[in-house]
Amino acid sequence: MEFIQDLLIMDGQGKYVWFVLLVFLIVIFLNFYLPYRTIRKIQEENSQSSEE
Amino acid sequence: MGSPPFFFEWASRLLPWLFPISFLILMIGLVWGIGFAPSDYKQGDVYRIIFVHVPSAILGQSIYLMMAIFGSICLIWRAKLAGMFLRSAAPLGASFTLIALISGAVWGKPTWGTWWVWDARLTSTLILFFLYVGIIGLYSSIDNKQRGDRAASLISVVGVIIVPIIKKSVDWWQTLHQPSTFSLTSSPSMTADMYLPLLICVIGFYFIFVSLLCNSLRAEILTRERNTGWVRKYLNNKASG
Repeated sequence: MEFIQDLLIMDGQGKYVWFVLLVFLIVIFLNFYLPYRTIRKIQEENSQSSEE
Repeated sequence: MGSPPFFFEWASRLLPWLFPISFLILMIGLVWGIGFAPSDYKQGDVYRIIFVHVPSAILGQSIYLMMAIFGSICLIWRAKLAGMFLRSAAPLGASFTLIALISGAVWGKPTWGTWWVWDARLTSTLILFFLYVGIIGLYSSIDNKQRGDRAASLISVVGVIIVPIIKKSVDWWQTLHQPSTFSLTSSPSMTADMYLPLLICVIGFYFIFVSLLCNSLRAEILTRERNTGWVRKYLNNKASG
């Protein structure tokens, strides 16, 4: 428990380190999600047009 | 390999393996670096930003270098896939450069006492980010894909001069920024228990980049080739399960 607390706080410097990690994870997620959404959209449009 | 259908199939097979491997390598590097590597005697724990900052900065420059190579291929041989590579790699390069800029600013505040200084390394990296934004903007503003590819290729080839400038900026000018962390000619300036997780993070970042690029290129290929026979066949196969 103490280890986790130390890891989160890092003598008051944790906010800088965790903020950077959060930014990194958000940017990576967006770069994964946006092309994935494009592929899904094309697939959905195709299945709609083939149903019509 | 240069044909979009071949690359699409190859990337589709590779991605289910590539993403988990990339995340595993990245997790090992980040958990080791942020959770278990020793604190720096001068900076304390804030130096742990290095495990995101340095790999992002290296990738930001490497991606631009790759774009210049693919830009040349696109200009000389008019290879379709090279243009698609440029279109897909530019947002990734911009993202990694942005992470390097933000993490550098956040690291600068507790160590330098300021978020930003107009020093050579920071300013040249900001120019690199603007080059990426320029290429993305070009693609958005030009409807004709081939013309967009050629214009983006030209910017990536001409703009590649910024990469050696960024690399050498800490040697050529007096800067607040520390010298390069990785060097091919000298031994590492940090101990092995800091250097090894950093090396793993760099490898993990490259893997993540390749995974994201393959994913993004698949989307780009489908978008551009959606009226071709092979894409229709692929989509119909997908729809029928």
